Amino acid sequence: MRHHRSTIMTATAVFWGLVFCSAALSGCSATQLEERSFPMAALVDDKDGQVVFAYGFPALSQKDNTDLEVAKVNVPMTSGASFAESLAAYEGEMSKKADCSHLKVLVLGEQLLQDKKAFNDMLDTMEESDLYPRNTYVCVTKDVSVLFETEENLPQDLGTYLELFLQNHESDRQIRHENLGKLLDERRNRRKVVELPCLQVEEGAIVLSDPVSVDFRWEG
Amino acid sequence: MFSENDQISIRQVFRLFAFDFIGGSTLVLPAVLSGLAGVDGLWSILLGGGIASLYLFYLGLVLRRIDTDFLTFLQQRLPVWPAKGILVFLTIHCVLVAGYAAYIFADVMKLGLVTGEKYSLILALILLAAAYAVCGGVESRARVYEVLFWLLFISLFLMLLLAARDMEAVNLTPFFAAPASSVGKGGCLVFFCMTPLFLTLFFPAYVGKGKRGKMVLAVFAALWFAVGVLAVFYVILIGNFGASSLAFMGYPAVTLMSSIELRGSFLKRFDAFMIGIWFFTLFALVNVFLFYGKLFLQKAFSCQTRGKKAAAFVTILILVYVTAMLFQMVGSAAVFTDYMRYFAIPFLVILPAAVFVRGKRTDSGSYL
Repeated sequence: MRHHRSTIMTATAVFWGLVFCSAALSGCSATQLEERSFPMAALVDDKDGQVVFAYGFPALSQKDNTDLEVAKVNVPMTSGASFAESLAAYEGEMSKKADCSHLKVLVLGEQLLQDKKAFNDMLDTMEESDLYPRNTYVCVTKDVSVLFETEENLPQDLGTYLELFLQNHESDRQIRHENLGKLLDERRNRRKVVELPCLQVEEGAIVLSDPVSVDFRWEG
Repeated sequence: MFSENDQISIRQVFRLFAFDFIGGSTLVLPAVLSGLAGVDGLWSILLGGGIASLYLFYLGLVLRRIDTDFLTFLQQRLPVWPAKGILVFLTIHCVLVAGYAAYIFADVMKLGLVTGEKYSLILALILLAAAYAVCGGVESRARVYEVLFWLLFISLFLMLLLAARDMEAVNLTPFFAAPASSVGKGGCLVFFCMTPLFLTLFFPAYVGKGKRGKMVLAVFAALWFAVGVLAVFYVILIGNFGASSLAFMGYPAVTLMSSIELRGSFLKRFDAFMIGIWFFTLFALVNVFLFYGKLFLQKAFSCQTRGKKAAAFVTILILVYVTAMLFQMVGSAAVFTDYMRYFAIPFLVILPAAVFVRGKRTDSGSYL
């Protein structure tokens, strides 16, 4: 019995020793919390054949408790030939790495939905890189830059505000919200038309309008 | 408080095997079955359960006819070199299965929990934790799984109930559309995931005398519990994601858990806790094969002293680590499936009967 216990004690000591050493050696491998910013909304649109892109951040970051000005995440919308290019341009402008694990809402411009190649290209990038969480809400607006500009007048950041807005309207049974995962699944299954909630800005306020249909059967 | 006699109860046997069966199968199989047979993958699961039941029945027959556990029988009744050869093959098999399970475990942990960390570091820590658990003996592990069993599975069933709300009927069609050959292939893959069954042969050493029949029944119950969980999982995954989308996913069960919408400050991150189910079940799978790999190697090279036993254990650990690293580099699933199909399954099917027949011949004094 004593023999057995001493073996276990030795194994425990060796185990914790190795854990300690590995923790000490791997301290700098991952991006530190202070080096990250946490976008709450992503906005993508298509303008004059160029894909435009921007993130929406909380005014005072709830995640790392830093001011936006200090964090230097107030980057204007960027554009590129594809979603991947405009995203890379945007992230190139940021001083911190975007950690999208808390992303609440993905807003798509109506024009982007019309351009099937650009839209598919964006979904490809999102699927391959696991860029955003699958449960990120997806909604549509006529012009994302108009929605982006309303953020100043909102009581919260755009992402959190839109998340609550969509949840409240769903509980009123006015819409059925869809998420990014559903969009990616239906693109593979090619069996359904997905209806995305559509937002528009009227006199500075965000309101619901008729849902926009995305027909995934086009490739079938 | 607890006895330390290297004996476990029948209930613990059920829970140990249930953990061994569920981890790998629910993580890896749904995407593969969906690609092979779509919704008809459900028939593959039932077919695989049927084949596994027949295999267990066969193992039960062999066990009924030998007085001891299979390992003792093998060593006592077979000439030295054939017995050593079989033990070496069994060691290699245990290393490969433990390596594959450790690879999946580290991969899931990297994807779902510590994205920025190195795979090799995660793997090393998993194996060290597993080595510690193996040092605790079969009783310690059985007690841990016994305590965790309902805690994990009640949480899992609640999450599955929540996930069932989002199923879409259109995704559950068409039925009976896949060719029989695809369903058959899927059934074989399900059987591959249930091959920890062959360890039933070595379990009589850890249950009391006169409990063999009950032990085999407990393994049978664990098998169908796992098949049931897999089938329910499969239907919910197909209903949520659709067959085509499911076929492209890496670990759809983990994706499902993170897709279930839970509102409320505490429950919101319950999905992270649910990934723990696969951590525990894969940990159990790594452990059991690490344990038997160590045992077979020690028996093959007659390691009697403490130093030799420890050396055998360290050798197994290093081999499992290297195997898991190799699985990460090459197309792991295809390599492992080929190994199971062409080497492991034929060997594991022939071995019990061959050893039994040869052993009985030795008994009657008719050496070849």
